[in-house]
Amino acid sequence: MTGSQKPAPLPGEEPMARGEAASGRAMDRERGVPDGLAAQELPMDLERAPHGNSGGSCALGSPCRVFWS
Amino acid sequence: MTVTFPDDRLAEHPAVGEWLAMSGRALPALETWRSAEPDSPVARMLWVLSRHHHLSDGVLRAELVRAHADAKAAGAVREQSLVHAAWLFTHQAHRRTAEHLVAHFAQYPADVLAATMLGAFDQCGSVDHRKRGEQLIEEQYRLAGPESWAWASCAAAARVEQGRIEDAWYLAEHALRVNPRSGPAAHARAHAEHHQGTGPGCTRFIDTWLDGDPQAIQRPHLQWHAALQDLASGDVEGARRRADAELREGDVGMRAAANWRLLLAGHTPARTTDTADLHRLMAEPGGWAEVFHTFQLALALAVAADTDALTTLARRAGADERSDYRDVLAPVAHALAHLSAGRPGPAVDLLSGLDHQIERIGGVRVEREIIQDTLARALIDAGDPDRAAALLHHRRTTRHHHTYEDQLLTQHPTTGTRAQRPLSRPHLARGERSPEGLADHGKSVSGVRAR
Repeated sequence: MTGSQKPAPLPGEEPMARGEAASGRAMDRERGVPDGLAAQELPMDLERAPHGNSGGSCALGSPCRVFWS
Repeated sequence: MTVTFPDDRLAEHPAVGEWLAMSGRALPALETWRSAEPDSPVARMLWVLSRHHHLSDGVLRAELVRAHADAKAAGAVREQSLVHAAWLFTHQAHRRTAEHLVAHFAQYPADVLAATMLGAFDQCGSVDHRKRGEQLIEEQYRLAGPESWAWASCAAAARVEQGRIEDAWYLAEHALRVNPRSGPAAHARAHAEHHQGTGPGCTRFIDTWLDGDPQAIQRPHLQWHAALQDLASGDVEGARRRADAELREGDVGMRAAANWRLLLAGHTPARTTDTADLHRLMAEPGGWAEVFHTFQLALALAVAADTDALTTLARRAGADERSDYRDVLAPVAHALAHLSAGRPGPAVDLLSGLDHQIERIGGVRVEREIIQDTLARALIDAGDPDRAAALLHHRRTTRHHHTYEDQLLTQHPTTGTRAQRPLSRPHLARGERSPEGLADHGKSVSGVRAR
């Protein structure tokens, strides 16, 4: 992929207007305007998938991720 | 110290700063915050994020359900969204986490409270997601501004993965000037310096930085980076000492990645993981959770010269429904099996055919580079030194210290069967010293001196 190409949007992704973030409109929504995030309930049917980080440390995962715990 | 927008009081809690810096005080600070403010959804959510691998399914779900209910009762939409992200993230639903984070950041730009979940993009198992995650981080850094050491640290790490090594180094330095105790910035600098081959300069930086916080969460991993820099500058005993002293029993992947490099370069490995533990991991779902996990397991089996297990792993990967397992991991594991059986020719054929597909195996550049190292060694062992030299030409001409690469291009029996290798010293207890004269000065069982 070249630097000028933009990856396809992920499902659910809405392009954010740069001016919107800068003007604080996005933050304003937090203070009262209903939106999709507020309506979401936790998906209780989701099962916890296995992971390779057992035994109290990072057995097989990539500790090179920016944040690792 | 600014971690996000100036008016974000929630993110200004001291525990948040410790957590984002991955400091040695982070876990107790989050524990204290959660106890002091049991109704705080963010305190509870971050506490869960900081130790979710150690929590049972029941405790994990109960804690996040409580946090979500508290956020909802308070009408706190941002906190609801954060807890929702944490639910998806801790359930290993990586794609759904990534999708949610895209929506979250659109609503709450540069929200550092969501930053530690960005690893979901890397764990999706798709190169497109990984690149989208890097792009999202850059966007958040631009929005947060240069005073946000947390986002500067994240952006520095992203730039390393984009191959912008100099940019990454300077940005990591900038983050460290704003907050000298930013672990992610120190980590990003270590990644940049790996590609620069700074050797002792990097090990001094890491040692000095860790002296300031010996309990830093990323300590074992930073020491792993330092061990690779020891190798880069030819300090083999230093690399082994760090691996033995700093990596924990459970650090199977890091230990394998250090030991396989030692073997590829013709040296005795440091302490290895017990083969029975590797077989147990191979039989557990966790060993097959993500392609990178199974790749790390394959490296550990290669260190153990366990050809049979590697062949079994490769066949299972070849039949996996996930294409990255079939197309990339299976040939890599078969190549490792061939090398462990002393057959470098087929290993060359298998690894040469992968080229840029290697990216699909996950992890980051430093972690994937070991496949290139393996191909170089296989080429040397197969009698094709010119191709091996061409493969490593860029690294040898751009890295200041590149003794490791030079040693990869040197003839010596190392990666093959146990009988062909230098004497190994497996399973030493922590702090236990190797027998006198074994390391670096010993003879291999086939009579060839180990380096």
